Amino acid sequence: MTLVLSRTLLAGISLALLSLPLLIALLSILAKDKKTLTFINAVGGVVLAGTGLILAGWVFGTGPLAGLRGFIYIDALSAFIISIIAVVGLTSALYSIAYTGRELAQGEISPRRLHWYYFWFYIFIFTMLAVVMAGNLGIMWVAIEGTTLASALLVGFYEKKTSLEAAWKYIIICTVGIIFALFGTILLHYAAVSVTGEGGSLDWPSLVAQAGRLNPKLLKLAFIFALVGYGTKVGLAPMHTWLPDAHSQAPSPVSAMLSGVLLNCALYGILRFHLIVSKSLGAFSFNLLLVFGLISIAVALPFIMVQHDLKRLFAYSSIEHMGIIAAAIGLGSPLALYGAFLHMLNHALTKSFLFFAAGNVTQHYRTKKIGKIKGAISAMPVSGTALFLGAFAIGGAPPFGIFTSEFTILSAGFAEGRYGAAGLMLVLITLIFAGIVYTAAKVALGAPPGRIKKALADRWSLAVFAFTFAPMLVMGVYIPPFMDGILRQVVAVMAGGN
Amino acid sequence: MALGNYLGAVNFLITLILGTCFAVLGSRRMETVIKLAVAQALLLAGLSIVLGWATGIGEMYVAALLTLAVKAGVIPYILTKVVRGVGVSREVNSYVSLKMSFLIAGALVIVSYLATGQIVGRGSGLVHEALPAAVAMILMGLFVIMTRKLAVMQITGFLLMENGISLAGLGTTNGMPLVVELGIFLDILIGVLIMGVLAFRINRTFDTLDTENLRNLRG
Repeated sequence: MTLVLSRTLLAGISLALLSLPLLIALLSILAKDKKTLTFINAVGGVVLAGTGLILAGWVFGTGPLAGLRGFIYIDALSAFIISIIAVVGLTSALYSIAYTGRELAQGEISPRRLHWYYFWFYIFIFTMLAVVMAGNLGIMWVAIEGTTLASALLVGFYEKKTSLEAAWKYIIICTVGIIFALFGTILLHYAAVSVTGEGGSLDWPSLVAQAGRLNPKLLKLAFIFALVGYGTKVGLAPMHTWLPDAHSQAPSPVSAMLSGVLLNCALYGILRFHLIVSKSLGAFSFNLLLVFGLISIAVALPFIMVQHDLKRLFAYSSIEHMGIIAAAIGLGSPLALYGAFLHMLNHALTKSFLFFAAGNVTQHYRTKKIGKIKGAISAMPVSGTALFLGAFAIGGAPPFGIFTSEFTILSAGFAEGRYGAAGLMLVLITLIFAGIVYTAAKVALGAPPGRIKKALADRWSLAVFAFTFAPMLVMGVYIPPFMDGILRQVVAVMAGGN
Repeated sequence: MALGNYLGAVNFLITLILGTCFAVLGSRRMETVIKLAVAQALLLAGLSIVLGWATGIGEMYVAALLTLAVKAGVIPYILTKVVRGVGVSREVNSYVSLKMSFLIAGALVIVSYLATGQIVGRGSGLVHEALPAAVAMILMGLFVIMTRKLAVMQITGFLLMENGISLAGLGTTNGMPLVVELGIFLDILIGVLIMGVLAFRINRTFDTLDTENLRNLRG
């Protein structure tokens, strides 16, 4: 009886989680003035994040949840990404208040456009939540395509020549990519229909149960299309070309969301296919993930070395890190998987932190050109320092979280005897570290140009920096038992249990 | 199975659909391209109806209705608005000449037939011709997006690809579950709307819809 009751409650919470962002989006449009808008965004953001974390915590505590006639399915893997959406979504929403406030003051955007900013921002969050909560691979596709549509106008928000170019490339390249993923979904559906019949043939639990009986040739083809299609959105090379443009042209809070959250949601799409296909085909999908992951890390390297645009630098670093996660999942041992998901969390936190810091700096210097930004630390003691520390953290220096997860992944690789793959990864990561820290030092150290006044961080930025920096640092030294338990559950899902 | 009696009609419709793709490649006026998109949507809806009739699956009629409303109604309307609004009617130069386009498209069709035959096996799915034709359409749509410079033409390429997907769904499994189908239609509709909005903004900022200008971001 209590079990039934708690199930109903849980289904209610998941529906609430899906409807909250839609409600906030609607209220953002209806809000009368800027004050109300800020209030709706701040309170709404907190409630939304709270609901997400409660739901995730509940799933971690009681096991997977299936509801709404199979349309909702949340296991530890989904709950893990829901938590990332909740946390980074909240910090980005709060940071947006400071960031867009200054854009407004500088005359970059009009007050009316601000309402639309928040509208699309929360629609974007809605679509990402829908991706990880969908229990049906067809609905998941609809949601992933939805993330592109919701964020396209955010990427082109400034309506400058460069941002429109980025938005157009983003929507065309990702839509084309995702059509391939739809073709993969249709092939999977075709394989499933011939086994299970029409009903429920795209339902995640039934697909996993039937995985061994599906036509392997079709599965292989379906996975390749899903990998290429969703991989375009993950930013796996060579389908990554939209990513640096979109990340650098979007408003910085949106860059943080794209990099810290969206890429993970797209990777989630690949993982769902991977879980089905690996049951039937064994090493096939593991190897593909490993190869695409390594190529992505390698492709990011030269662009990081010679980069002239601060936000593009961090965008290429996202390609690198998604490559690391994909490669680690491709390695496939429990330790490598543990490292992969720890890395996903660390990257989401660290990269959003970096984009917030970079957003403040580029806004203050009014340029993204690395050559034109100097002495950020003395001009902006808080944001400049955050940028400098964040660069060390994202490069993989101890005592930050990324170091721990990269170390875990590499040692898993060597322990498995995959010396070639792990060795290559080690060399590439080290070179990229050097490139990023070198650039960050150029930007952060020295004396600022005369035209730049000294500026202190606003309280929203301060709060967001502190809130994000604490876990970045803690996870570098020590993984709290509750986090360890969560990661173990995610690894268990990936290792084939439900 | 009753489907056998209708195979002639089904294959005829699929051939006509492929034909409209070639016609899109061959036309230089945007108005013609939009008319061809409508024709293709009508043929797809017709195919759904025939298949629904033959198999007795009611969902196919819903799919046909949706195709009519969205792909033959709302989307062409949006495209016409964009074309009129920005005042382009002729395609700027393509990266590839007309003759070359036809040649490549022909090659794509042959490759699609060979490849699907190789991989999935000949005569698989409900309708044998559907899958190879669908793959050919997806590839031709991609070809249009890659070689045409006009932003609206790239939207049309996206529609070709999507129609190819619909054909694949229809021909292999009688279409996706209805809820998924509804979601896909919603995505396409919103997608074309947003692409249209972006096209307007591009035209306002660049004074042209030629995507040749969209190459400032590099490195």
